[in-house]
Amino acid sequence: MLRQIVLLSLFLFSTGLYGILTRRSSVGLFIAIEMMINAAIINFVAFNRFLAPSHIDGQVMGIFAMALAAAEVLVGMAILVMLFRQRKNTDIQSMNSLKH
Amino acid sequence: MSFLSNFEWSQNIFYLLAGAMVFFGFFTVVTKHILRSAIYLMSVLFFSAGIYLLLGADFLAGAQVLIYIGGIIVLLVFAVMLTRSADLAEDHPPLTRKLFGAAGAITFFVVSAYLIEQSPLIIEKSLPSESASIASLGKSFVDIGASGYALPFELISILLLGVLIGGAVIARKEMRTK
Amino acid sequence: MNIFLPELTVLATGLIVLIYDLFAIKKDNSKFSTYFSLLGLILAFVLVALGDSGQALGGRFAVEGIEPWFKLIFLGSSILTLTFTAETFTSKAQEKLNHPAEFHTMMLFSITGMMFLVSSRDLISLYVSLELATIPLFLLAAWTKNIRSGEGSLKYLLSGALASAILLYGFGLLYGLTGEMSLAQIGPKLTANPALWLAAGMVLAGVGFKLTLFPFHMWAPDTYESAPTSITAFLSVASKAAGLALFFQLYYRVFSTHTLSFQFIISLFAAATMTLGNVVAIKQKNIKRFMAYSAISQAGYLMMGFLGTSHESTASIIFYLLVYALTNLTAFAVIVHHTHNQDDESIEGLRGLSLSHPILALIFMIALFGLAGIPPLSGFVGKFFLFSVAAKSGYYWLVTIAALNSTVSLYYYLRIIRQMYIEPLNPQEHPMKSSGLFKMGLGIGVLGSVVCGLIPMIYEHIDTNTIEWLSTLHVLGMK
Repeated sequence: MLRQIVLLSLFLFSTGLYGILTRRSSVGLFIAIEMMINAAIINFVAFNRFLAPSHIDGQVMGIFAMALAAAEVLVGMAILVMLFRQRKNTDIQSMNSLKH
Repeated sequence: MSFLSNFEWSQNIFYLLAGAMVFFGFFTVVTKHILRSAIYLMSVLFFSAGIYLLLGADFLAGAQVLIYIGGIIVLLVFAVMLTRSADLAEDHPPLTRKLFGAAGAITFFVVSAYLIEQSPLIIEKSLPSESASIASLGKSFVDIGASGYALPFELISILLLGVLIGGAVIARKEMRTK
Repeated sequence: MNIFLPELTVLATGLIVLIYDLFAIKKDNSKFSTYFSLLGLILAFVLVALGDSGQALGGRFAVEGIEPWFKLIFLGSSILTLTFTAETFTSKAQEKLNHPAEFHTMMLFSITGMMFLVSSRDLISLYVSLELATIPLFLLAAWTKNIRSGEGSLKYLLSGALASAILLYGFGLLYGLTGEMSLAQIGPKLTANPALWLAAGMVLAGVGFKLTLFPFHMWAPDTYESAPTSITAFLSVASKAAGLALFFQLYYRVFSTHTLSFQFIISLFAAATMTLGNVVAIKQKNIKRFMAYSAISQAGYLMMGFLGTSHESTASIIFYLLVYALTNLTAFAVIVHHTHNQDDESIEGLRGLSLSHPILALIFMIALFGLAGIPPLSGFVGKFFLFSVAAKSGYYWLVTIAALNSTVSLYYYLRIIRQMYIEPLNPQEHPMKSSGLFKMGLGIGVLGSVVCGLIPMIYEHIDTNTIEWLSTLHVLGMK
């Protein structure tokens, strides 16, 4: 069953990758990244259960990764709110002020 | 104690959950509406919590619902609704980018799945009966010994304090004091 | 002596600055937070320099051999950054920074994270301290609170979050391959199999984002250009050093038995990164964007040090990192001073600087020559060590590319020097006043970037520490 779980988490990670490659809206990108982090946490929990059930390292990492993901999203939302004070549009694509 | 100690049953439930996660995971990234995407992500996260229960990680399942669904998704939905911007709420990638993204993601999936299949990654075992108790999880956060995680626990508390302060500074309205 | 002391000093300084601001009577207390932060950082610097090696928390936290050098580089670069940040709180420029107390707290928290990153000994602490080091930087990059810095910071945040998601998945695979979290136990348990290469690739990609290696560099120019200039300076040095520290931890502890298989990929990354940085830097008009590409190419040179297998390769990386930190921060001190006084970020804005401010122009020239690697300066010595590491391992093609790149880089650094020395004076130039603190920081920076190459003791000291450090790894049953 572990192989199926790893395959499932790999699928979620790949869909997240697809989201990263196609999305341009910043919230859409956040959603894709959250999916990738979730995939990684599933891996940790599954490995913890099947490989090293005597310790709970994997679960601890899962909880920390969740809290860190929340912190990242919080920072992102703070910046988005700040940007919306200045302007009505946070599309990454229309970042005119930064030219390439 | 595991949620379900019957192996057959837990396997069936796993396939049910996995199917739902694949379905919603796929639609999370292909839908045009970001708000819908957030709701699909919420379903994926909710079913992930089910998988954690199946794996005996009860506390993690609860934390998943509280932090991820109750916190992160709400924040994302809040951002979309607050700003009421069409650019943030919808995303229409052109076909070339979709093809490029699909090619990249599928290649990555196939190659990685092949690599993992090829490795003696896993000592296959059926679900072990014992599972980590919540108490041992809590103890590991305050354990300063070799098996404890007191250091990252303290570090993360500093980080959250910093994020709160910094986030408030960035998001709040600047008062003109001059 | 308690080996946590330097970290706790930095952390306590950050909290005191924050709490003082809460109860301060005077509204504008940027002076207090600057000087108190500097005091705390200098105290921590001394504590690291005098500190012993040892372990705590059951081996979860350890200080050995070369780790103090990393901490000294973090602390030193933040001290230099603060010396030229002080005047941006009071300047009249568009980019004026507000909320000095919170600014310093964020910075000190980030440095705490970097210091714990070097000393962590398990995947969880490593990951959490990496995030503690980077998340405050996302906020600092948006500190000017205009659209430009917000967009740049959002880009930085998204690529940083993506990098940590990829890194986390890689860590998950490492955990799955071994069932261990402790770095010392993962290393010997890893056997060569396909999933290991997947994990290694993901770790390399995650580190590549932090180090701005070639395919993962795309956030850097935009973020460097839009962030407050002093944060750009900090990002280009301390954040890069933190990425390098992370790679050090993983490369020498986790992948220690497989380093030979990494070398070819690393050489490709190094070649692509330095070439891209140099080629794109040539046509830049904005000085901050220019420095971003210059920093990308410097990361390419740094990666060359991972090609060797002996203690010299490790020592040469740390030595070059030290030299790069001093030289780059000296250059940035002048840039911060100039852009804040003139409100002009173009390279042409520097024209005729040698006529109005000859000393500033001279120092800037020394720093740029140091970055280009001109012989008597320490930049040359550092590059020489790195090139010789690659040559010793038989990567002659890479040495050739690196030498060509150094020549190209000399061309574009000379472009700036030409603006300062040959072009006539900029008619719109405002008079610039420099504070004592700024002069002191500039003096330390330029002195360091000249002297490090002339005094062999510094390199020898690093080398001795490296040998000692590598022998502790052998004791753990690695290599």
